[in-house]
Amino acid sequence: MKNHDQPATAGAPRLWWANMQRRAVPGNRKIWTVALAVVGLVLLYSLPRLTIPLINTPQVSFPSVLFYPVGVYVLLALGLDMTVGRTGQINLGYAAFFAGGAYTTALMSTHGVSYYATIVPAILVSAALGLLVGLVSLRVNGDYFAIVTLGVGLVVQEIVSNVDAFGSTIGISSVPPPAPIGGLEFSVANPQAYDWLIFTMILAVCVIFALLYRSSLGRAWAAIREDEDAAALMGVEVRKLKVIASTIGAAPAGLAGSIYAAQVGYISPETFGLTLSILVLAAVALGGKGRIAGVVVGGVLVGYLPQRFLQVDKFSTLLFGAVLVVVMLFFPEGVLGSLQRTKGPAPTASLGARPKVADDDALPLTAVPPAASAQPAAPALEVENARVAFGGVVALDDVTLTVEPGSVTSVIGPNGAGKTTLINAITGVYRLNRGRIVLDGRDVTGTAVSARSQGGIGRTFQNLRLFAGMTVLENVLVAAEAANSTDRSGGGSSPRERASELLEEVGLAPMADTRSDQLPYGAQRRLEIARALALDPQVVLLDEPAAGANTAEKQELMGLIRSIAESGRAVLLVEHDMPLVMGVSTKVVVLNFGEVIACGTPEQVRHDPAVIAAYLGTESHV
Amino acid sequence: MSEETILRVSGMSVRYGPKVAVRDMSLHVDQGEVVTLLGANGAGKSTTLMALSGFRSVSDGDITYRGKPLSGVAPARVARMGMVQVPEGRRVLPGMTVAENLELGAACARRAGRAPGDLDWILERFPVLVSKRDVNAGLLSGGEQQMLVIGRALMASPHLLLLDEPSLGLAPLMIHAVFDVLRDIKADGVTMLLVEQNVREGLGLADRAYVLERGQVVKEGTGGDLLDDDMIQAAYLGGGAA
Amino acid sequence: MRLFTEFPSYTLAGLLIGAVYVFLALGYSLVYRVLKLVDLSYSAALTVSMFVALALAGRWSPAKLSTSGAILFTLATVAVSVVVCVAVRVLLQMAMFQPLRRRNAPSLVVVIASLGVYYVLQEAMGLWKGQDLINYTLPFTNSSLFSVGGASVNIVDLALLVVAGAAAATVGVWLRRSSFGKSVTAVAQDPIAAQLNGISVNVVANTLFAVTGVLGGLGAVLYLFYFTNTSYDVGLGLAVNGLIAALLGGMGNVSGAVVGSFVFGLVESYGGAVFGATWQNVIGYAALVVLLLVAPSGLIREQRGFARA
Repeated sequence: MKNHDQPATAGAPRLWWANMQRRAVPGNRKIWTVALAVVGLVLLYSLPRLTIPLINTPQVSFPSVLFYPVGVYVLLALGLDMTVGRTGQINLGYAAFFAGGAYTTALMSTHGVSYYATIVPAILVSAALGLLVGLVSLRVNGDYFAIVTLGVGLVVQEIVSNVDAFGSTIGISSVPPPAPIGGLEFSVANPQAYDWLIFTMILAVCVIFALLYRSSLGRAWAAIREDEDAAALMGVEVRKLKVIASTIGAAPAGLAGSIYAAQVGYISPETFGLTLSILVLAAVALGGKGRIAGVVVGGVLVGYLPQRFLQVDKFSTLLFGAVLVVVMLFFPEGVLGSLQRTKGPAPTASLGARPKVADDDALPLTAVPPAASAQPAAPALEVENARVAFGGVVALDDVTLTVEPGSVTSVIGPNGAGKTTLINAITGVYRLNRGRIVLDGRDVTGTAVSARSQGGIGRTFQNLRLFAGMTVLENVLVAAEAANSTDRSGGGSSPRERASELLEEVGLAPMADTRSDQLPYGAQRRLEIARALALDPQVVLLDEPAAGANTAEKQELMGLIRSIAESGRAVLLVEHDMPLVMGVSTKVVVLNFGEVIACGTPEQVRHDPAVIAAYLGTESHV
Repeated sequence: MSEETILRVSGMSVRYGPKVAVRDMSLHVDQGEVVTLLGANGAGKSTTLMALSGFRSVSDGDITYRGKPLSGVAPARVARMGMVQVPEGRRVLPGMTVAENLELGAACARRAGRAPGDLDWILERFPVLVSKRDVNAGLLSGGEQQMLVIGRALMASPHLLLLDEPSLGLAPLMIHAVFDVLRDIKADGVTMLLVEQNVREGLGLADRAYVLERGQVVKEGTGGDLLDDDMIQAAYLGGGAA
Repeated sequence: MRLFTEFPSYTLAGLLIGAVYVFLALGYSLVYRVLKLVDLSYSAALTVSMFVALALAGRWSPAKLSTSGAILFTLATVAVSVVVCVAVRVLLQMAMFQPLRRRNAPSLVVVIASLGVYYVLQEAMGLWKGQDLINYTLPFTNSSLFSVGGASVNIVDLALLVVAGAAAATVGVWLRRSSFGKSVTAVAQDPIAAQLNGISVNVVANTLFAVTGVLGGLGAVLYLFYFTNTSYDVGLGLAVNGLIAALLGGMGNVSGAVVGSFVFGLVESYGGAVFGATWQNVIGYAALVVLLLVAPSGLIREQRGFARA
């Protein structure tokens, strides 16, 4: 496999394909694509007629398993991947959605409805179940999603086994086949028809999903998978999008269920049990979650392999189990994932939490304009008498401060003084026990985190929280798109344009397509700032942006902070670095033990005896 | 000061996949010395400590600790052998009390057949811990936690104490306090290898120091010499601006 | 309604099935708490122990033993079951979980791998003794010891409750008081800090799996004694119910696992009484979903989350 440095983004095209395209004569790239697609399709649709040695065995011919289990499992795996691979939630009850589609079609067509008219209802029923599960999971701590789904899967199976309307344990029989399309008949004598139908369905789902994953919705999902909390703070409506993923992800199961019922003619509850759910999950894991091609391969493997081993019938499940173990041990990214593996991220260099990369770029130093002077203007952010207490510990007590547009307000204080608590309270991560947060004249106390981010608050994190697996551009784009959805963003520029502009501003434009975790530390800091700015915020909260930075980086930072303020935004800076704080701030607020002990210009604060005693020590470092 | 070399690193390289994080590094620490590794973020200081403690494998060169080669030794064993690290970010055990955290260090020494550190002596050095003996370590402030993990490491009776950026995330007053304690224990004869970004404090404490840049040693000398060195002054002390 | 007239019987039945779940829930919770992984292979190790115990009974026709012989045989069965389970668990840890840990494998990978092991073990048992239900002859007469409100408590019933309680208590004390238990807690809180203090994660992991082996071995024998039958695929139901019980109490919470097990057992028992046996399973699962809606972190104080793909 040729070495390449294209990053694996959330919806990257197949990399071997990209390689092939590069090798081909540039002008002919489109022709190559089309030609290969045509050849691929021809091959695919002739599969039911082919006899392939080694894959066919005396006991099972490949064509006979193409529809079920192979085709069906591929469809199911594609759907499950949306929650497991894209939004990071493990679903252990996917069979319930499959049952939904199957029973819908079975019930309707045994009452005279044409098969084709049952497809949409089947998908809708499954999607409805997906919606239900998604809503339920919101109530539950995100990580318990897996067990809730386990319960749902089991409950659905039990209900279907015990209720007469669904045929009880006997199931529903005599489900009629679909009516012929053109001259093509669907019957036992003509199994290829079913194969072609399911191939078409699979292709349709692949195309639709690929488009989805590459859209702003797909990026938002990827951000949720990377770091749910950071995504919310960047304006992504996490809860809503998770429910959407669960709903759309159930749809392929409905589709699969409907055609399965029509083909097999007889459905019973046993099919829709835990084993099926687990097999579909295994398909996603085996092939490589989060990649459409990988999931398809996984579905093929899980569908085909147990059949292949059927000749050693008694051993088939055991061998299957062994295959699972071996693949997970040696190809944890799935079979396709391993083949497509790009340079992974540099693991954390220290035992602490900071991300680290070996290279150190020489960055251009921005010119350092004089400190911004205080401007009398209505505050962009007001914190009034804020109190935050956890159990018996009071983290913030009666804290009041304001941040004006075009200025930099710094919050300093000893460790444990409540600085990060303050930021969390402003962004909505912590609830106030008392007091108010007012943003641009609007009381936002009690509103949701994503509402506040979309409403104009951008922040960076003390311990960098980038969307590690996504590129530099994508990190900023997610926030830009989230801001776009609220029509807050000014002007007519698209999110992509704004994202590119921001990258230019912080000097990261040449690295737009690099995976964000491969950036040098200082660049990552700047990326976080760019991302926060993508929300077009009125208030920018910077949480210890200079932590771990060297002198050159700090100079950079000071320049950047000043320019952010000068563009009319209100900057709230939490920092330990005294020279930086003093050099860049219009106003300094000093916290100690959760209370404000001083507030004024840098000069005033520097000489305030209470501040000196509590924080700076007897010898001044400034 | 005895001339026994506790730690000798020769030509060590550490990689992350294709990236070389530390390249051809050589350094040594003698009994009773305090040696500081200086460098900017990403220069390779923490990677060095990780490799020494056994959390990363070395692709080239060797590490000799008290005369014994240290390649491929598991981290737990390195700690038992007496090279104990106070990690970056402190890493107290949050659900355990201060006393239990200290006891963990003592258990480490006992596991290796060494007598544990003298608890009273350590509490004398860290008076702030005395009143909080039964408080959950997770509730302490950053500075107090830093004291705790140094104390915990000392309870393991280390022959060599490794410290990864003890000043990180601490307010200036606290940094002073921490380094005062380090000065005390240095006077008591504890051998230390210190990684720091805070140049003043790091060089102030050190007998000798190495400067790392992009994974390589670019300068070495005594603490005093380096403090006066122009290059260091400009890059790290910033002549007043930072 | 039956539930009221035969309340003591249903309560006893619920407690007894809950006691069986204790051995499972404890195992899942312990491993999750320390190593942050969900090990789906655990119940299969119990199946293996059960089958070995079956083989033992097959060899030595325990029905014909004298009293002292019966006691000896019972003890031997327990011992063998425990040894087998410990061996299976520790081997698994060293051969699979340790390498996966070394590679920082994500949750999904570990779950699927443990699933693979589950199938391998289950199928192996199926190949050994077939897929039908197999009966187990007790080496002693399971006579009734006393009655509580009309519900009769047999020897096995009492043993089940006592051993389950004692096992849980022992594990709890061990974790909190013993020095090894403290090492385990240290690894659970911060594996890197633990290693920096000379604690080897692999040694802790091996010990932990060995402890689950003991729990599993005991649970396997008691299961056999209580139900007097088993089959090769009994592990699936045990796994589901054991996991649910562990979750009810808060995944990773040891005392929670115990409470959750008994609660789940009672819910199943009462639910079956009220809605009939066919709906028994649904009640249990539905109760779990409802509970999680109401108290998202389980019945007891929450542990950190898991199961992120």
